[in-house]
This record gives sequence, structure tokens and C-alpha cells, in this order.
Amino acid sequence: MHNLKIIEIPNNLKRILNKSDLEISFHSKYKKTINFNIDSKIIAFQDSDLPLTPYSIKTNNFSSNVDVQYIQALLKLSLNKECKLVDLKIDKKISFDKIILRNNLNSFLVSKAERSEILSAIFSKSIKNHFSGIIIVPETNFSKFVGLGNGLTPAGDDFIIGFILGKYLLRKVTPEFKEKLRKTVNVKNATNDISRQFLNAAIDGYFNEFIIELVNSVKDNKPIIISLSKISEIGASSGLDLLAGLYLSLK
Amino acid sequence: MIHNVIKPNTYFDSVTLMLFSSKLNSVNGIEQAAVMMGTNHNKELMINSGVLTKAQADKAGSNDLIIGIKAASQNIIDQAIKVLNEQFENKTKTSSNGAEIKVKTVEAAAKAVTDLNFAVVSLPGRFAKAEAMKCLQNNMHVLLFSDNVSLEDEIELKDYAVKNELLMMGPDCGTAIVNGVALGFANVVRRGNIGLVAASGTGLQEVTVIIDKLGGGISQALGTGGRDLKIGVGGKMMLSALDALNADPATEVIGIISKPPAPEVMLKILEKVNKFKKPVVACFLGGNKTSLGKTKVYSADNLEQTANALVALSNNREIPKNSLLKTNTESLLNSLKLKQVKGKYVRGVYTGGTLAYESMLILSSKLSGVYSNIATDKKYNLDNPQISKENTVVDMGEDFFTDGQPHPMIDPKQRTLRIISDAKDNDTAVILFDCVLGYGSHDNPAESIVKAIKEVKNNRGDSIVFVGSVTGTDRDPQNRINQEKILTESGAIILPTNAQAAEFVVTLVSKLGAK
Repeated sequence: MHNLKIIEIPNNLKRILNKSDLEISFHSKYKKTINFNIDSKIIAFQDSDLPLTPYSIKTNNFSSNVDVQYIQALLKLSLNKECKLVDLKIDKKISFDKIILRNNLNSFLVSKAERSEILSAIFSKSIKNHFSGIIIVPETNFSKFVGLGNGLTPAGDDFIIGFILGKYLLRKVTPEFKEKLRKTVNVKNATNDISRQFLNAAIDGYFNEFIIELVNSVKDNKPIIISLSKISEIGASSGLDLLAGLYLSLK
Repeated sequence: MIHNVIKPNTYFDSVTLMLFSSKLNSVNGIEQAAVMMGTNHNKELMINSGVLTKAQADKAGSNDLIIGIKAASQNIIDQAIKVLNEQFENKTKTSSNGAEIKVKTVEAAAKAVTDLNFAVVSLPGRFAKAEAMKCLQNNMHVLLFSDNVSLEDEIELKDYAVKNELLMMGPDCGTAIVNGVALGFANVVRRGNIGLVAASGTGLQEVTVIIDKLGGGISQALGTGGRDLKIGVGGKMMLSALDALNADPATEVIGIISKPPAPEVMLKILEKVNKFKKPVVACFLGGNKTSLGKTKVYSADNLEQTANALVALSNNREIPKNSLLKTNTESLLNSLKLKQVKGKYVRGVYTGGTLAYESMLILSSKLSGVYSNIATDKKYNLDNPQISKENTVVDMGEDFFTDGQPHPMIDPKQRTLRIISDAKDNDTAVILFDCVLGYGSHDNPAESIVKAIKEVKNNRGDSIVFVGSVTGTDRDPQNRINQEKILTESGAIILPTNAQAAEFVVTLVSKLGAK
């Protein structure tokens, strides 16, 4: 008998999850996450120590051995009751010192170059990998980043998300920028479905809760090291690749 | 032949996929193998690497996992598939084999591994103290790589460490070798009976490397951080480290390397080492030998002398008067076309702080007016560290240059540019440089120097001389012999130690003056 309890959902999923007669099917599962196709989105039920994303539901007593019927019942019973709604949309009106943030990111990332191909391409001039050529002017090379690299969210996609984050912080996200990016990331087979969702969410200004924490710390001029550490622990190199994108967007 | 397997809608994280790829590549006879998600770019990479056919690539979508194997025979491919299937099975059985414990906090690490006793802390300065303290409180010795830690925080950390008999190396401790394990920037050196304690990173590297060249070996090389011997900290860690070396059965001879300590601190150090039975060699760079008073401590003038003395004492031999690594400078001078050399000044462009400091001392003792961004005499402080004047030694690892930039030992680009800009000054006759190898350093620092030499020589031909030394061993990842070869092939004069390089430059500049 499972005892999964929904504790947090992102605000942006509320409308989808409140629909009656949701179509739910199994997608994939990991140690701390189980993904379901729900209303043409892939939504993850996840353990409470993972960051809430625009497409996840945070649970207590997580188990990856639950089935579609269980999830259907759980959503009907739990939503709108005890679970907390979390806003993962970036605050677009923050002012901050670009140089300080860039320097802090530099100090934090330079020692971690070995953990990420993208950071290696940035910080080690002698290491040549498939990111080395395109890292120099990322903005004109977005199409070459999409889907590049291994894993659930390819490193190139994580990098782009970080780059978009930087553009939001710098208030440089124009409708044209969004449109161009959207076309690039939605090319057929450019990347996998899960990663594409995160890319589209980032284009619309939605990021995971650790990033929102980082943005809030930057906004309030508070130390960012804890947020950076938390982000850097996401995935094998995902968090670091994302921070690499943020770092280069501030150049 | 190429063999491809496509697993529809199969997701693994990148570490798992890299593990799969590496297991496949380790199968005997496999020419190349890769396991990747089938995104357009990944498919292109796999096709270009020769592990995926176009036909198979067209069948796979971005949510599918592609396995690509290139081998000479079907037998080898079958063997590889068997290995891969085992990996898939293992992965689905258990997601973690426990070989690597992932933790997010110091407390969790201490809980997960019961006999944890050493931590390296490298965080931006203002956050470093809290984490270092947590490590000490969990009974770990600490190497604190970070700089920009306040003096008050350093004292608090070191007081706690002393009280609890722990080592608190740093802040700003860049180098250490503990029980044979190199930490921070350190070289691959022989193990032996010489224990070192230093308030200097590249000073410690240079001494360990020369000891290695002379056939000696290192028991422990401990760092204290640059401020330890100042009056505020009072040598707390130097004194603890000396006690540790004295108690260490593997250490038979002890070496101390630092800039001159505050007089009160010097007294405490001498009082302590005078009680030791083990011989002690001290190199207080730029200090006054007489300040050692009547002690049994052997005082060395430079880093090379320190290593010479330590190796001799470690073999129960008399300390030699001349360096055992001495080169024939006369023949080196003869190899140069001195008549063609233009200018009269030397420009030392360094990545290593203590190496820069040592050169500045050697040059200042013989040449007039040596300017620097680390000058001890304020009169010779560079107004703008970016601009050299007359004779100059610049430490490119100083905060001015590293703020927001990687240290030049990691990324020597800024140093390369500085060599080029200094050589543009027609009054510059000699460029003096270091080339620091070892863990943590750039993987080909010689190449970045040669890049500058080539560019300079295009304009100035033989009217400028390049002189340097390589701080490294043959077993370092960059390999000293290869690095020296790269440099000498470009026309640079390479001496066996930094002190000798600086002394050679003094001779060279005097000859140029007399020309």
C-alpha cells in the first residue's frame, strides 16, 4: 500500500491538473521520479528533496511503484486540499550588479570545470570538445546547442535554459527573441520531449524552484552560494551546464 | 562493421550513459562505441564518429536511446552486446551500487563515512569559514583553498583547530601533499623522509620539485596560508604543523619556507624547533639571516638552497656549498647572439607568487630599481600593475589580475598577453618567466609561453632573450621533459631552477650593459 502525499505543485500546472477526465499514461521512472503523460504534457511525481520544476509534483513518502490508477485517484483526492501552490515564474523586474554576479559565478564554476563538458570548453582552453567551437558566440549558435549531449536533459539544452535565465535577469527577453528560440527548440527530433518542455517553460519565464531561489537572493542582494550549490547538484552535470549558460549570458 | 541498437522511449541520466559507453569501449577489439539519446545533434555526432549508419539514424527519434558499436567482427560485437545487456540489467536492478556516496552537506558526509578525517574547502571567501568550521567540528583536518577570508575568521578557525589538535591549512593555501596525496596545485614527487611546512604555494612546489630532482623524497608538505606568520595569527598553524612533522615517524628532516615572519612569531618558531632532534632548514625569503640568532636551524637564502640542504641532511651528508644542479652559464651565454640584443631591462612575468617574489629579490640584490606589484620597498611599487617600467617583476596571480578571472596557472592567457606587451617595449632585453606544472595547473603552460615567444620573435627576432625555468617533474601530467623541450625549441633558455634563471638574467643584463 502506497502512501504518496502531494505537498507542492507549481502554479502553472493548476489549470491542467484541475481538468476533469485527465488522460494519464505511464512515461518513465527513476529512483526518485516517476513520469506520467498527462494532458499531452510529461509531468513528474517526485521525491521531496528534488527541486520543484514547472512540470513536477512534489510528494512525501515517494514511491516509483505507483500505477496510473493510483495517480488518477491521488490527483482527484489531493488537489486543492493540503498541497501548496508554488509560483515558478521569474520576477522580471529585478535590478542587480551584473559584474558581481558574473564574478561570483566565475569563482564558483571555475573549480568545477571537470564535471561538465560545457564548463571544460569555457575554462580549459586546451580541452577541445563539441562545445568548444559554439561556446564562443552562444547566441548565434542556439540551434547547435539544442539536444547536444547525453542524458535526460542534454547539456546543450541546460545551457540554453541558463542563457535564457540571464537574458531575463538583464531584461533582454523580447518577443522576437522568444519566437526565434521557440522555433529553434521545437524543430522535430531536435531534443527529447522532457527537455523540450523545460526549454519552452524557460522561454516563457518558468524555472525550477532552486533557480527562483537564486533569482530572489540576487534580487535581495543576499549570498547566492547556497543556491548555486543546490543548482550544481541537479543531475550529473545539468545544474552546472545551466549555470554555465547563465555565466556566459552575463558577458 | 557498424552495429546499432535502438531502444525506443528509453531514458537514462548522462552518467549512466557515459558508463555504458565506457564499458563498451573497454571490450577487447571494439574500435569505437557510444550510447546516446537520439537527438539530431547526437545522431550527427555518432555518424561522424563512425558508430551510426544513416539508415539507423533515420529510424531513431529524440526520445530513443541509440547504441552504436564499431568493431572488426561480429564476434566482438556479440561480446559487446552481452556486456551492454549486463549493464542494462544491473541498472534496472539497482540504481546505485554504493561505490560513490553523494552528499550535499558536511554533516551528511560525516554521517555517511565514519572515518572521514580530511576536507578540502574551496568556496568564495565569505562563505568558506562556515563550511571549514563545520569540517573541523566534524573532526576533519582542513585545507582551505579560498582566499578573501577575514583575519578574524582565520584566527577563529585556527584557534578551534589548535584546541582540537587538527590542521587548519589556509585560508589561501594552494598546495599540500598529505600522506602522498597531492592537494590543490601540487606536483608528482617521490615519497621520502623530508617534511615541509610553508606559508607559500609555489615556493612549496619549487622546493618539492628540486628535492625530487636531487633524488630526495617528501613525507608531508603542509601549507599554512600566507598570513599565518603575521602578528595577527601568530604562526598558529606553522607551530602546529611543525609539531605534526616532528611527531611523524616518516619525517626525518624538516624544512620551513616563508617570507620573514613577524619577530615575535619568529621567536616562537625558533623556540619550538630548537627542541627538535630532527634537523631543520629554514628559508625565510628576503629575511635577515642574523635574525635566526644562535640556533641549530640551517638558514637557506633561496628555494634551491633549501632543497639542496634538505636532501643532503636527509642522507646524513654535509650540506654542499654549490648547487648540485648548477649549469654552465658561460656556455649558455655564448650560445646567445648578444650583439643583436637590444634594450637593457628585464621583465619578469610570473604565474607563481613565490617564484615572482624570489626572482624580485635576486634581481633587486644586483640590479638597480626593480619595480613590482609585490614590491617590499614601496618606492618600487608599480603605480599600475598593468604597465611595467624599467626592470619589473610582475606576479600575474595577484588579486588585481585574478579578480573574476581564472588564476594564470590554470589559464595562462593573460600572462601570454603580458609577455607580448612587455616585449613590445624596445627597452626590454630579457623576458624572465616561470612555467608551473602539476595537478591543477594548465595542461600545457609551455605552449602558451611559446605562443608569445613566436609572436614577439616575428617582430624582434634575436633582439630579445627569453629565460625561464620549469617547476615540475617528469611524472607530472604535463611532463617536465616535454615542457622544457617545447620551450628550448622556441629558443628560450631554460635553467633547472627559478633562482638560477634569475641569477642568469642578472649576469646577462650586466653583460649587455658592458657590451
